[in-house]
Amino acid sequence: MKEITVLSGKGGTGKTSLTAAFAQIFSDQIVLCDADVDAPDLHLLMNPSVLSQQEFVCGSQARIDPGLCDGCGRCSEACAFRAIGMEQGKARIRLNRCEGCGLCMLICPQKAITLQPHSVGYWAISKTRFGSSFCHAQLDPGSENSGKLVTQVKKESRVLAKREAKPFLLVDGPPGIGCPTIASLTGANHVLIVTEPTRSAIHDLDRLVKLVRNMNLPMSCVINRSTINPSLTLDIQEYLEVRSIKHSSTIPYDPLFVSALNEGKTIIEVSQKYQTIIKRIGEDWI
Amino acid sequence: MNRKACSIAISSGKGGAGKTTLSVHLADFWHAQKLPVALVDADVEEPNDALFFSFARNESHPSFRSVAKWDESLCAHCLRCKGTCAFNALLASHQKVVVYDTLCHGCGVCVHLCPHKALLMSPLQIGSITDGMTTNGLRVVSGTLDVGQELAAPLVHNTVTFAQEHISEETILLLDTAPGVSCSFVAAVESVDAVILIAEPTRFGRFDLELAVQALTKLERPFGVVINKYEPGLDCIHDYCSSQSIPILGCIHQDTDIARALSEGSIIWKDFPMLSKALESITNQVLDRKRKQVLLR
Repeated sequence: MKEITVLSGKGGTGKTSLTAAFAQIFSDQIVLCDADVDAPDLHLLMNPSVLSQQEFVCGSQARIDPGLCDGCGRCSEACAFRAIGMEQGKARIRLNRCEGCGLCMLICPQKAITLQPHSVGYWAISKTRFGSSFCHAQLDPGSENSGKLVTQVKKESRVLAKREAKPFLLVDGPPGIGCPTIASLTGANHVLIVTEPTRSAIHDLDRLVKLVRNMNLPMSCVINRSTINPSLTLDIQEYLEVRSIKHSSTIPYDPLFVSALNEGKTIIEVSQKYQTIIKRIGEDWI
Repeated sequence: MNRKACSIAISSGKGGAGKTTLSVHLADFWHAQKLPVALVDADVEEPNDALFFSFARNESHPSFRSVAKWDESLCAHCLRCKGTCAFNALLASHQKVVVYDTLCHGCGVCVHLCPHKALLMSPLQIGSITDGMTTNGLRVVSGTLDVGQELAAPLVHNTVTFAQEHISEETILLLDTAPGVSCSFVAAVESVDAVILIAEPTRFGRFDLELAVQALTKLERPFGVVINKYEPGLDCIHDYCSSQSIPILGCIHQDTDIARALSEGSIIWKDFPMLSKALESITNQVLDRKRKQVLLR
């Protein structure tokens, strides 16, 4: 089983639109995974029927028993995350900052602090409307641990791919280069980068390429909305060539991408010509 | 933080909605109107604000966070630290202790538990903070995470704190945040006075806007919405905002010429009357609400 992660560094370059098109064309060969657990959008085009859904309990959070707390303030001073404030002579946890390390529990002389399991979202297994198994998740807005939820959906996707003997696991990744992105890359066999000819996207592309290089993973790159800036498109092509990164395709700016999305369709469903383009990009990893 | 001056974050659940575009243009527009403003790029994974300006001076400072470090000479191999790290950043055996820097959150549990002081906190460089002055005299502070570092939130915090400590209290701080609704975003918005959410009128844009609204409601931060890439007929963001009584602060229309000009990384509001009008509307709405202290929603 080969694992392909679609990434971009910069958000909004067309990762999810392209992943949805792959998910349609290669539906019989893949298990699909949405690893953008912060802002997962793939389900909006896949219209999945959910088969099972589970709460994601990850780590813990501190709770203070106000009856036992004598307000000494030692926990508040010790907390590296500034997650404990003192209010009216009692310690109080700021839940959105607590990372559940347990230091406060260890140092509280009154034993007023306990750790409680912490739910940060859910993950689900579904079938896409094209028939593939689909693992996706939603982090509770404002929560931590998106990297761990990414690792969870990837783990479940691998189990599915193995059980169904599918040759490919297709992963729609998050923007950025931090922990959720690194989690989405861990175990990947191929990275497909979607970029666009803007100075911002090129800057972000370069940071992503360095990350992928450090992890020694093969990659190829699609330049989306190329006609927005043909001269920067040439710059990207040169950038890729110098680094021996395969430039797999160039897609001109097309307002149909927005209309497709707003109808809940893939780009192929609104324009047949994309069938060939998407298939050709797929040859990079097949 | 004791800072009294106003800080406003510019955020969006979805990436590519126009955070950077709005941040650099609003900062430049306010600066041109002689409003005291500084721009803070808190999207440390992909900081792009500085690409839009030319700088008269730029100083870069390394930025650190604390991680645990093992001192072999003091270790008695008692294994008291074994299995105590909530972040799986520490492995202990009878031969040695390994702390994985990128996984360590710097909580100090292992340091607290070690009876021999063989574990102590030590600084780890995670990126840099650039303090710049543009040729027009606008202050721009940017955080940049080193490639390969996993935890972005500590650098977001360092960047915002740096700006608060080094920029005068009369100056409004405009914070460009990371996309998404988790750690990096929370670290940037948790101390601001208000948030401007920017959203595009697509299914993705609307879904991700709802997530950002949920997060800000939980964090009790006031907010309003700017609609970007609007086209007649694409009213899903308008409809959502009016159904939730969320103020719409401005609307920027889809325009391929604007997209083309922006791709070069330039400030272009002077060349596009539609853009300068939208910026004016956003400015008036934000300042008016600030004056009346009814900060957004």
